[in-house]
Formats: sequence, structure tokens, C-alpha cells
Amino acid sequence: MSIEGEKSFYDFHKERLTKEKTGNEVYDNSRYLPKNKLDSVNRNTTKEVVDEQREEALQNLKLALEAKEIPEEERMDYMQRLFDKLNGETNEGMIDLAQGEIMEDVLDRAKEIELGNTEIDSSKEKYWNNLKEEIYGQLYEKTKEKLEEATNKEAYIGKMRNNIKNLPRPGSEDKRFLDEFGFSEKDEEDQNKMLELYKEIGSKILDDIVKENIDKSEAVKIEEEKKTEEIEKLAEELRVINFEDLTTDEIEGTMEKIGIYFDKMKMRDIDINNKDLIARVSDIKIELAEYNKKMKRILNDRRQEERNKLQEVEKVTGEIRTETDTVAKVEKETGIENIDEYFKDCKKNRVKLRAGAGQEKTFIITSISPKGNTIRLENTKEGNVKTSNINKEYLYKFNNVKVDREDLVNLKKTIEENRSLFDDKGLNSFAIEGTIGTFLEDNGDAKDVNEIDISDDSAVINALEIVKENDELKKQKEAEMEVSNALVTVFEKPLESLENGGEINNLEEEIEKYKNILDMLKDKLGSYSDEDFENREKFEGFIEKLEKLIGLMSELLELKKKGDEVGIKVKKLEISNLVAELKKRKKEIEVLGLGRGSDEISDKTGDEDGTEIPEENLQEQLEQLKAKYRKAEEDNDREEMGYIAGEIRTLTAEIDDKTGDEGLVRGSDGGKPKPGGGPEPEPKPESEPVRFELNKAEEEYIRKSKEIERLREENEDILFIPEEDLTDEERKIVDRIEELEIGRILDKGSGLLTNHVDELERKIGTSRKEGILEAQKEYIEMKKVLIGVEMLKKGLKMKIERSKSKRKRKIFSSVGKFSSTIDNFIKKGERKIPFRNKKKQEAISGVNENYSSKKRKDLDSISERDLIIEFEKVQRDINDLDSNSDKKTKEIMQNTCVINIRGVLDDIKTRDDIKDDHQDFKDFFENRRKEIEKLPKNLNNPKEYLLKMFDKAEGIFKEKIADSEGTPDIDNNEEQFNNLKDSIKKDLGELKEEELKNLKDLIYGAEISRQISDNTDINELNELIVKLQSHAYSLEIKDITDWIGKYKGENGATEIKLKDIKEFIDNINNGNKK
Amino acid sequence: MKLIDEKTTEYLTESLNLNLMSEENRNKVLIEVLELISKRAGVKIMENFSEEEVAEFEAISENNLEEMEEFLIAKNSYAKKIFDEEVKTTKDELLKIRSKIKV
Repeated sequence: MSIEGEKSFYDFHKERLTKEKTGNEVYDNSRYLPKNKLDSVNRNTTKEVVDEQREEALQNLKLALEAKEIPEEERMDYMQRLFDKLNGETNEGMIDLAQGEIMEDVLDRAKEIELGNTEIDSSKEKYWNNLKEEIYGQLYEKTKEKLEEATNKEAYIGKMRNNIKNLPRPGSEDKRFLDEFGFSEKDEEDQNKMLELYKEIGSKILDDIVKENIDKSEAVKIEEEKKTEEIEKLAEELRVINFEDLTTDEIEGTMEKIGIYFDKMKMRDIDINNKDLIARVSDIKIELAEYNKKMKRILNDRRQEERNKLQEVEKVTGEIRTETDTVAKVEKETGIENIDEYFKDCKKNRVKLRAGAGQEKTFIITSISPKGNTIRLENTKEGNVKTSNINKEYLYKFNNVKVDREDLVNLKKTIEENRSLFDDKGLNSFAIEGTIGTFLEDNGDAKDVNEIDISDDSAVINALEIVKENDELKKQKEAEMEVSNALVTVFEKPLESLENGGEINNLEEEIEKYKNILDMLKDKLGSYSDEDFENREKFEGFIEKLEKLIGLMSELLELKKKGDEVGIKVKKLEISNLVAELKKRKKEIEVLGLGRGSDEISDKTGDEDGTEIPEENLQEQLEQLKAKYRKAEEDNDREEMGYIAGEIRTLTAEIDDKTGDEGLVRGSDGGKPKPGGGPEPEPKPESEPVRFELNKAEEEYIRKSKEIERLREENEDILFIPEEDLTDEERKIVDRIEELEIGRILDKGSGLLTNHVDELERKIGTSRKEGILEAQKEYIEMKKVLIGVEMLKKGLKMKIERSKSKRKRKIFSSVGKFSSTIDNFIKKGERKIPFRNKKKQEAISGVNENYSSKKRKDLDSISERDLIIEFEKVQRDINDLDSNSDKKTKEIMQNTCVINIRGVLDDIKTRDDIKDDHQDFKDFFENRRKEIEKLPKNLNNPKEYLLKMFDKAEGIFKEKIADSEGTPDIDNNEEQFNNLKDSIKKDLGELKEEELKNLKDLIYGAEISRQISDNTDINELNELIVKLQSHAYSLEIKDITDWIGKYKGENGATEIKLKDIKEFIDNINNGNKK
Repeated sequence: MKLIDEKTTEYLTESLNLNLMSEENRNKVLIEVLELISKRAGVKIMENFSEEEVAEFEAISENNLEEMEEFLIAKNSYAKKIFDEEVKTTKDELLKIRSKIKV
């Protein structure tokens, strides 16, 4: 039996080769072993199926053996495929059976060879050998597989050898082998042959496997030995090291090295039988682990020591440091080489200070801050403790104060110009002036730098400090002014919009602008020293927030690109909060820049307030803003208008504050205030209020985000510790972060879906909610799976990132290449993805059932009203089942006019002049019918149903035409009449004389126009037919000619008999054209 | 033998209810799921690869999925088994997560 009917193996090969050459079809063995049968084997391994399979395998193999006309190589190729197929598609027992049968067949053939069959030639021997090789291949793999599974491999090999050894004993109790191969019933000769062959192959296999394993295990042993030696060497080196002598870096390096060796030499990788090696490695590992522990302890001690030192520093400075600074770091920051020594030196110093106008007191310096600009002082007599902002330089000078002559001359000059500067601070400017005169006189020869010692007079020293401080404040003021002016430009663009969660056009450009502003601010701030900038921290805080804002805006941009709705919403909320904070800070800084210092700083010219912007300037700014507003209005730049409006309001309020006017601002002419005046025109905020509500899932997302942020900040140091080295407490924190990270993906996704449903509900109301939500189910299901994928991906990534093993991370990176390739292969369709839309299939089957022929019959008696309802129903049914994938069906249904069938039927019913448009109506029905015919085959029932409904609808139309009064006055429509005549002539022109005669008979038969004589000419006939057609409508030329053609075709008749014509006419009149 | 075969995609399609989706969306989801499975299974399959083997794997040209699969199967005889187990585990985990998502 061949598998595919009568085709021979040769035919198969020919066909395959042809196809392979042309590339039309990929060769597939399932053509020989049909897929359906293989499938059935997989599902059901009953004996019958196995037998069937075996039979096919045998037949094919026999064909292969005999098909000498096929080149040997091809035959062997085929047999190989056959074996592969058997091996790949059947169960194990099946393979054994098939192999047994094959073996049997091989033996039969061998027997033939032995008997001297004349047909047998040397090539048969080759098949024999090749077949042995095939069997070898099969059994080899199988044996190897079992060997790998065996716990005691040597025992397994021994057992197998024993089995083989025992095989040749006929009559042995162990008949398993012969049973399996179907040889137990064979004669002894065959059994022996079979056993001999198996023994030969089996022994060879065992020899080969053993050899291979020995080679492999030898190589592994050598490798293991090498690794062990390396690790022993490391242990040897470490034995003589005093870890306390190592630097922190060295200890960390050594620990990492131990970790690498641990990864490299895993106990589980060592051959279980190599007990010696296991013992050696185990010992070294214990030893290394001990070293590791020691080093870790040293590291911890060192870290603790640093922390203690730092705490000391914090204790004396009174500062609470949140950073994990080290003493070394503080030393580096402050430039103090040895902070402990520095403290000691400070304590020796004594300073004299005068508090305000009070008495001068002596203080001892008890400590100084790491940066050296805050000092803690103690009054020896009264036990007063106070802190003071004194920098190192000042401290030095106070105890050993020497100045230049020029310094004193300048001080005197300053005192003369601005006495209040000193008097207000509790000094006596006149007394100081006198003291300075004395100093100058006493040191009349002094010319060198810092030659005049003024240590004895603290008043002069203090006066000098006041001048210095005043100069610094002025300098600082200027610097801060410059930066704060630069800050104003930050808000040139509508941050208000961002604050309200609104949109910003050209987000990318905006980000770029903000970056430029940030750079400018940094530059300016960087160009001033700490001393110049008392409020540096505030500015830096602002800059930091601005950087964060830029980061958030960039993230928003990314989210917009991805279309991540929830992400966008959440990001806008973050931006909104940040902008609000930024604005607050900006205001603080502006206050610093614009208003501060008026009562504290005086310059040498004695101006009370040289920094505040005068009202006139504000007015000028207001005018400029108004001009800008008008320009923006002209350009219709609503965004800009909104922004300027805000600026105008702020400035107006500021002017009001200065002038004390409430609700009054000066007009643009700069003249008198106008009551109720506002900027011209009164601008309104442009940004629409944005719905900014979060659903529960989103709230949860934000809560988790904040918690993650907090945990990360608090535990920054442990996040970089490999998972394996974490303490239980640390592990809990890391696990918590991971849990939150993954959990918020779920919240984010859930939030998105909730939004999606909310949005739908909002759009569609409640009327058709269920239907539309059902249609959106796909979207929701898809998102659910994707959320899951995102969570699992995140989990995997975190696990890998936290892994100590660099190797694992490396492998993960390599795997990325593999996984990213999948994208392409699915897109290219390189592997088939089954599409079995069961639901849709069920729906199709349901619709077909609903519109069965039985239901079609119901249409015979349907009313006009019900017909319309039925039209809509059937269309809805089809559209519903096709909402997903079959665009073609949807399109057909849309073109099928069911939508406007109600209108058409209404027209037919109500219009009296319907006959005027009868051609249009006919076209309408015809076109729709053609469309419906295009419906897919699997929708045959509804198709037939629709067609019948159209018949009904058209029937109503015809009825209406027939009922219309009189004959249509087609003569009045000359063009239409002529067209019709031409058409009829054409049709009639193709008729033979006999047919024409019959046609005339037909008309006679209809007894409508008895006046037509045999001699009636064609023109008269045409006219008559037209009249007839118009009157009866249903009688069309096409109907007649079709019928004639059909009649002749069916009956083989050469002429139409009158009785047939009469019958035809009767049928037409009864509305049955068939 | 291939790591990702028709049975894999069919199994995932049916067990994750991807049949409800249009072809385009179904493919989109399948790509994501298979990428995830490949990463998870890949790490396990390559766990005991030597440095040389990892380098060899990396040398395979991009987008040559079949060659990568062949390599993995050749170097780890349990590759297919590991992959199939991962398909099942991941599917179960995805279904579990899905049940937690409330709309």
C-alpha cells in the first residue's frame, strides 16, 4: 500500500525534486505520513492507530529499498526523513515497534540476499549497512539520553552490557526485547539474526558512549583541577596577609576576587564521584568564606569608625548632616588638613567681642564648624555660650590684627562720610576716628603691608569689619540681583499652563529653552564666591528644582510619544506640583533680589536704598508688558497673551502696594490714576481648567512612587549591595522596593484601563454602553496581558541587576539579543501563528443557524413593516459578528443599502410619482443584490435571506408600479424610450427568425395585443414590447431571451412551442420567473 | 527542532485568550510575551555556558533566530524542555496577574 493512492515512491520523489527545484513547495514528509494520521497517533495511541502507522512506515521503507531507479543518496535521504518523522511524531513505544518492523523488513531483504536472489546487487548491501547506521543513530541517541538521566552511569552501562551479553540466549526468560521488536514469534534463525545485529550495534554504541564520556570527563577533570589549583593559590596568598593592613579598596578588590572564584567553582558542577576534589574545594571555600567574613568585618568597622567621627563633627558643629559624608570628605570640602588638630588650635584662641553697644567681653573659642565659618564661643566669666558667624580669616585677624596704613586712612574716610553705618551698630564713630588718628601718628613710618598692629583696639577692628561686611553685602547684593534678574527670564513662557496641567506647544523647544536658562543661571551662580552669595543655597535649591522640572518635561515628552495616557496624567500632576513650588521659590528669591538690604546696607555715598526699583521703573515695565500683550494679540498668540496677562497682574499689584492704591493703576499715558483701570485690554487667563482627578489606581500609583522615592533616598547605600550580601533587614527593604516597583505597574495599568472605561462612558452615555464596552473588550484584554508582561519583565530585570554575579548579568545581556529578534520573526510571519477565532466561528455558525431556510420561508408572509425591521436586524447581526477582523464583510454590509432601505420602501409606499423614477429604483435593487452576492460563503444563510428580502422589497415596488394608473407615459420621455428600443433591438437582432416568431407567439399567448399580425415589422414589435414591459414591468426582454436560451438548452429544442410560451407567461404573471 | 514553534504560539494564543484580538493586536501581544519568555528561559538555558560559548552566541548575526535557537539547543540538550516549562510558568503568572487587574 502506498500512502497516497497509486503513486509510487518514484513519483513522489520526482514530484518533490521538481518542487524543490522550483521552490514552489517546501518538502514535507507529512505527505508520506499524512499529518492527520500523525495527529491521531499523538492523541490516541490505540493499537489500531499504531498498526496503521507502522504499516505506512514499512510500506515506505520497502519502496525505498526497492526503488533502484532513484539515486541511492536520495533514497537514503528519504529514509532519514522517515526515521526523523517517526522519531519526532510518535511516542516511544511506537518508535520501538516501527523500528522492530523495519528491522524485520531489513532481515527479510537480507535473507533474500543470502538466498541468492538474482535481483540483489551490491547496492543492497549498502542499504543494509546504511540501515544499520540509521538504527545505530536512533539507538545511540536513545541510550545516551537514558544514560544522562541515570544517577549511576557506570552501573547503567554495566547493566546495558549485561543485557546485550545475555541477548543471544534463545529461550531466555527475558523476552522483553524480542517482544518489543515483534520477533518473539519469528523462527529461531531470524531471532538470532536480529539479536546478532542488535548485539553488534548495541555493543558499539556502548563502547562509543563510554569512550566519549571518558574523554569528556577527563577534560572536565583537568579543567576542574585547574580551577581548584587557582583557588588554592588564592587561599595560600590570603593566608599570609594581615587584612588590617590592607586599604579599603584592596579589601574590596580581594572580596570581589573571592566572589569570582566562588562563581567559577561551584560545588554542584564537580563530578559527584570525585570525592577528593569535592573535599578539597569544600575546604578552600570554607577558608575563603572565613577570610571574606573577616574582611567584611574590617570594612564594617572602618565604616562605623568613619560614621562615629562624622557624628563627632556633627555634634560639635550642631549641624545635622543627612549625607553619608566621611571625615575625609569634610576635610576635603573645607580644605582643613587635619580637622582634629584644627579644633585643638581653635580652643587656644580667645576673642573679645562687644555685643551691640554693650561692654566688650572675652570669649573662648570652644569649637568651629568644619567649613570654619561658624564658631562656638564661651564666656569664661558668665558662662555664656553663643555662636557667631566668623570666618577663619577674621578669627586670625582678631587675635593678631595688623593692617596697612591705607586701610586706616580709608576707614577714617568712610566714617566721615557715613557715621550712621557705625553708630547704628553701637560704635562711637567719633571715638574711632580719634583712635585711628592716634594709630596713624604712632605709626607714622609704617609703610609695609600689615605693619600697624591694632589688636589692642577692638572698636577699630570692629569698624573695619563693618566696612568689610558692608562691601561684601553690596557685592553679594549685586550678584544676587544679577541672578534674580536672570531668573525672571525663566518664566518668560507659560509655566502657568504647566501648573494647571495644561498643554504646552512645542514641548521639545521649551525644554531646550529651559535648559539654556538653566545653564545661564549656573554660569552666573558659579561666577560668584560663597562670600558673595549669602543666599546661595536658596538659588541652588531653585536651580535644582528647575533641573528636576526639565527632567519631568523630558519624561512627559517621552510619554507623549508613547501615548501613555496615565503616565502623561501623572507626570503633569508632578510637573504642576513642582511648578507651584518653583514659583514660590522664585518669589522668595525675587524678594531677596529686589527688596532686601534697604535698611541694612548703605554704600559709601550714603544712599538709603540703592537697590529697590523705583515706581517709575515699574510703570515703565508695565508699559512694556502692555505693548508685548498687544503684539501677542495681533499675532493671535493666545499662549503668550495668557502669560503676559499674568505678568501684568503681578506688576499691577506691586505698583498698587507702592502707591497704596487699591484697585487703581495708572493709565498708559502715565497721568492720573483711573478708577478701576486695568491693563489695556483686560486680558483673561487663556488656559482652560483641566480635569485633574485621579482614580484610585492612579492615587495608589503616586503613593507607591513616593514611597519608592523615600526608600531609595534613605537606603541609597544598600541598593548597590549584591543581593547575596544583604542582611535580613536590608533584604526586607530591597524586597519592599521591588514589591512597590512591580505593584505600581499594576496600579498604573489599572488606572489606565479605568480611565479608558471612564472615557468611554463619558462619550457614549449609557444608552448603548454595554454594546460598545463589549467591542472594547479586546483592548482591555490586550492591556491586561501587557501589564502582566511589563510586571514580569521588571521583576526579572531587578533580579538580574541585583545579582552579584557579573556573569549572570552578561548572560542576560546576551539573551536580550535573542529575545529582540522575536519581534522581527513574528512581524515577518516567519513562524505561523494560528488564528482560530473560536468565538467568531461560533458567532458565524450562530448567524447561519438563525437565517436557515426555514426562516427564509417565513418571509413569504411577512408584512411591509416587519420587512423593514427584519432588514435592520439582519444587518446588525452580520455587523456584530464582524466587528473585529473581517473588514470586507463590513464594507459589503455598508454598501448593501440596508441603511436606507427604510427610506426607499417608504418612498415606494407613499409616492404617487414613483413611476418617474422606476429606473432608479431598479438600479437600486440591482446594485444592492450584486453587493450581497459578495458576502463570504460562510455567511450563506444570511446572504440568501437578504436576497429574498430584496425580492420581497422589489415585489412591493413592482406591485406599486403595476397599481399605478394607466400605462407609463414613456412617449414623453423620448430619450428613455429610444434607449430602451435600442436595447431591445440589440437583443432581438441576435434572435433567429424562428425565435422571433416564437416571441411574437409569446406575445400572442399573453393575449395582450392580438392585433399583431405575422407581418408585423420589427419596429412595431419593439414598440409593442416596450408597452408590454412598461405595463407589466416584470416582463423584460432579458427575461424572455434568458428563458428562450434556457428552454433551448434544456430541451434541445429548435423551436418553442406555444404551450411552453403560455406556461412561461403564466409563470411570469404568477411572479415566478424561474 | 525549534524553541518557538507553532505549538508554542498556539498554546499562548489560546490560553491567554488572544483569539479575542485582531491579528495585529494579537501579534503585538505575542511578541511581548515571547520576548519575556525568551529572556527568562534564555538566562536558564545559558546558565552554564562557558565564556567562549557566550561569545560564540553573541557572534551569531542579529535577527537570525533559527541559528540562535539551533545554537542553544546544541549547547544545552534541555533547552527545549526549559523553554516549554517557561512558557507554561509565564502563562500561569500572566493569568494570575490578569485576575488582579480590576477595571
